[in-house]
Amino acid sequence: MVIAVSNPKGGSGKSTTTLVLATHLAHLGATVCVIDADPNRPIQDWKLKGKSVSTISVIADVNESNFFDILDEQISHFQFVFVDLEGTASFLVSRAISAANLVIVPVQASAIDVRQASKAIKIVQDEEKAVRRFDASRSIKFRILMTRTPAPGAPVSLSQKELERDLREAGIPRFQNTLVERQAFKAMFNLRLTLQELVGDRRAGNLSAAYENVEALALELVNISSEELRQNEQLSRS
Amino acid sequence: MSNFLDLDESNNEPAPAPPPDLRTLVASVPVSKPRPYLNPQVSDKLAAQHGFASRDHSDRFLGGALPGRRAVRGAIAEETKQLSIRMPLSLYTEFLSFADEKKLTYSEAIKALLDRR
Repeated sequence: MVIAVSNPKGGSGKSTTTLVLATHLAHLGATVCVIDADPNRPIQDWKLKGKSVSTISVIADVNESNFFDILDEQISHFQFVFVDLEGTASFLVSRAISAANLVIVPVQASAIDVRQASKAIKIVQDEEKAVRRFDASRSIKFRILMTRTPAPGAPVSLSQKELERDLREAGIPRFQNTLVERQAFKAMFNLRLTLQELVGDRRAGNLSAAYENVEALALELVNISSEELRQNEQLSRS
Repeated sequence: MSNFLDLDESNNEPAPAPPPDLRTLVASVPVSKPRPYLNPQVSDKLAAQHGFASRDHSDRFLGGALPGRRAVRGAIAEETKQLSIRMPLSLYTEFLSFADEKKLTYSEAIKALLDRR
């Protein structure tokens, strides 16, 4: 499954989402590749400069000219290929979206994030129509992922409540779980380790809660993948 | 309770084992399928309608020249001075197009225009 993580708005949590999900799936035994298409190369930095023994494979030096070649080389070797995209409205982003099975759109509860996220959603819908002209069975699913949300039990901002209501009323698909603002996720980047490798480190904050959060998101992601597989099987039988 | 500083006193417990069903589910996910071919120009054209544009960063990674403009090669022998000017947008666009078309740096483009006098 090719998963593009996209929001033209910078700082919405794309790289955190990618790193957290990719490393957790690898921890669960999946074969995972991350194409680091962010010019700042945060995931490659994490992999090369850290001491993590995570099995995720990271490819960087990606641009709009070589993106499809790189993806085509990697795609059949991994169960999950994440594409961590830059926070700009570029052709690299749109090409990655056109090649994805699922687009995760991380969104913070702010008006700017939501507006930019809407751009990403419109592109997904248009690219899906274009791709279907070549392969009618193809679909590009998308899911909003709310990021930097308060911990469960903590007060939820009015902006977040409004965003949740707007998404519900517009029927925009979203992850039911959010990516909570967690010290553990920051520690993953700062210390260049996976959640599992942070055990015993006080700088990681509430690790148990972070595991639960990622576990719930990984389950949703895998269910989306299973649903896609079932739909493809049904289409091929019909 | 703070939203963001969620320190926990006891942080030495080993990572909890994931429920068996998620590992099983993950194992059942097949290897990714090759993507169907889509002409990149089709994708780019659709994206351009939504305000997306080419922002090829290959020059950042590979040190190559920006498309359409020649790279500065070597140091300029003469002493240099900085000129920062504000100009009407139409003139700005016209000047940049001229430089791109002739594959000139901005100072070369100014020289080329002066040489026409």
